[in-house]
Parts: sequence; structure tokens; C-alpha cells
Amino acid sequence: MPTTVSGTDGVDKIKSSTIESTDFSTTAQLPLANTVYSMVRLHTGNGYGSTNTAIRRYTTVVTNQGSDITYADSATLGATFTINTNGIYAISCCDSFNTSTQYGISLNSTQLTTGITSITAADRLINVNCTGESIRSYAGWTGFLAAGDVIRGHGNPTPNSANPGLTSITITRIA
Amino acid sequence: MAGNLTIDQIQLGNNADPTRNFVLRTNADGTMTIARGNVGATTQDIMVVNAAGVLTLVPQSMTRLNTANGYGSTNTVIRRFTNVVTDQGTDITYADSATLGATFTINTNGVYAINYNDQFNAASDLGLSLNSTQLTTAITSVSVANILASSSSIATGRAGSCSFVGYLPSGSVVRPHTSAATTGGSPNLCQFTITRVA
Repeated sequence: MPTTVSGTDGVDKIKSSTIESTDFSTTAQLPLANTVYSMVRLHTGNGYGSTNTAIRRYTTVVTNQGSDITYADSATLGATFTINTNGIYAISCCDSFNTSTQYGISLNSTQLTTGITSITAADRLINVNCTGESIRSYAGWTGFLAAGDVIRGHGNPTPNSANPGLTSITITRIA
Repeated sequence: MAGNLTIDQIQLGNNADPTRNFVLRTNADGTMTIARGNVGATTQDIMVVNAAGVLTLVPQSMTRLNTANGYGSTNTVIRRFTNVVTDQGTDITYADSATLGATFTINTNGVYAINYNDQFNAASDLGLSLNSTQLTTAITSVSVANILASSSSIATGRAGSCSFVGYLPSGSVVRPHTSAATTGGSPNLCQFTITRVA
């Protein structure tokens, strides 16, 4: 099978190859042109895991397509988004609670009963502030994630607002 | 050797803009490189075959930092950071200076995504400036053309966040730009990520 190369700005990058020896540990592996782009989109807050008490859960799956992200929901562990392919990912969260609090997005955290503001800084991709009851706040992050990384919606944790439908999360591989 | 051509490097393309040309070259250490630019003056390695025959693409460029470390002593509204979590690739040069604060210099034309969040000891503002020369001026008063994004932290210790996704040409300088408010009680709630996405 021939090696096929294409890329951005005329820069060739490997899409499909027969090269057997490669090091892609810090590089994106671009999807084939006809690949289904990977995206998981969920909405409606469903509290937290019973064991991982700071990890958000969600009620409704709107979209779960592609093979680069594995979404799992667990009553004990909360929601996890496991990255299967090196690449650039965009993450968008919106949340609201029954009081003023902070929430965010964690990466490979092991502090799953600890509020987002108190976990190890290197495991926190972003944290934002919700200013009051049912006041929505947006947290977004875009960057490189490696295969095996685990993303979580990470709260403080604070109970849902009266309108949990205002909660949503979307993670998409964009490159 | 009749019928054969032996050459150390070859340039593909002859555009007046060197960023549109590419060079395939062998290196003295037994590696081979495809790079952007002209022969003898490449500006970006794209892929390397190392001495063991392993093909390595240049890492996807991303710099991720955390924990506020005050400001530059001269550039008094430009944030500094304590920790580098990730600094990979060649498209972005991160530099930290006690006098100038943090700078992120773009080396390659492209689309970049930037996220910055911070908190202070009182309600204040934060943002991202581009090629600003007003480096002692609060982000809210910087020339509008030099502001990529701005936001507010509404109260002591409460994180504010801003982001930008867009095209940045080579030579652009991005800075985390605030109003010089003193860092709040949790400096590790300050995070910055810049990634080339296309």
C-alpha cells in the first residue's frame, strides 16, 4: 500500500502509511478524509459519582461519534472521556449550581473527591467561577491530548441548580 | 557515477516567500530532515528520520503553564508563571523574564487556540494582548486592535477566563495581560495554554 501524504499549508503529514517504525508520542495523527470526526456531546447535569464525588455525571447523550474518544458514565466513578488518539481536542463545558461555586476540567486527575480548585495544578486544564444560584458559566480549553489521557468534568462539588438542563459538555477532536 | 545524482540537500519550490519552499536534506549524524524554508536557511523542521530509521513528526506545538508568579518588573501588567507543564513543538517560543513577563512568540503562520484563566485579591480584569507596546497599561485600556480577548474575575479568588482562536502570523507576540492586580490567595488557579491547531 503506498504512503499517502497531505497536510496543512502544503506541509505533508502522514495520513496512511506502511512505515513500521514511527514515534508519534507528541504528534497528532490526522484522520483520513472520510473519517467520522470524533465528538461527544452531553447535556443535563446528573449529580456526581458516588465514589468520585467531585466528578460530574450527565443525563443525556446527544452525540457520541468517532473512535478517538471513549465516553463512559458510571454511578460510582462519574463521567470519563478517554482519549484514544493523539491529537488536538476542543472541550466546552457549561454548568450551573444551586449556589456560587467553581468548576472546571481535569486531566488525568487522581484527586476525584477533591474540588477542582484544590487538585494538583498540573492536572487542572481550566477552572471558572459560577457567580450564584443557577447562574451559568462557561469553561473552554483547546490543546494537545495524548492517547490514554482521561478528561473529567470536575466540580467542587456543589449540587445541581434548579435547572440541570443548563449543564452541558462537548469534546471534539479538531486535528 | 553516470546516471546517478548524489546530493546532500534539495529545495522543493522557489517561491519568493521562503515559507512556501521545502528542503529535503541529509545530516552529518545520519538523519534525514524535511524542513520548511530555503536551502541553508530553513525555519521549521517538519519530519525527521533518525539514525535508527524511526520517522518522527515534529511535535504538535503546545505550551501549557500554571501558577501565577506576579508580573514583569518593567512590564508591570504582563503575567509570569511558575510552572511549565508542557512546552513542545517549534511553532511557539515561550519566554519568561523577570522584567518583561511572559511572552509567546509565534514562529509559524497558523491558527492558534489560547486559553487563559486567573484570579486576584480583588475583582479585576485579565486578557490576551497581541503585539502590544502598552505593557504597563491595564488590559481594559490597551488599544483595542491589540486585544485578542478579555474577561473579568468578579471577586477575590474567583477565576476569570478568556480564550481566543484565530490566525496568527509568524512574529506575533501574545501576552497574558491584566490590570496588575495582586495575585489572589490561590495562585495555582492561574493557567495558560496556547496550541497551534492548524
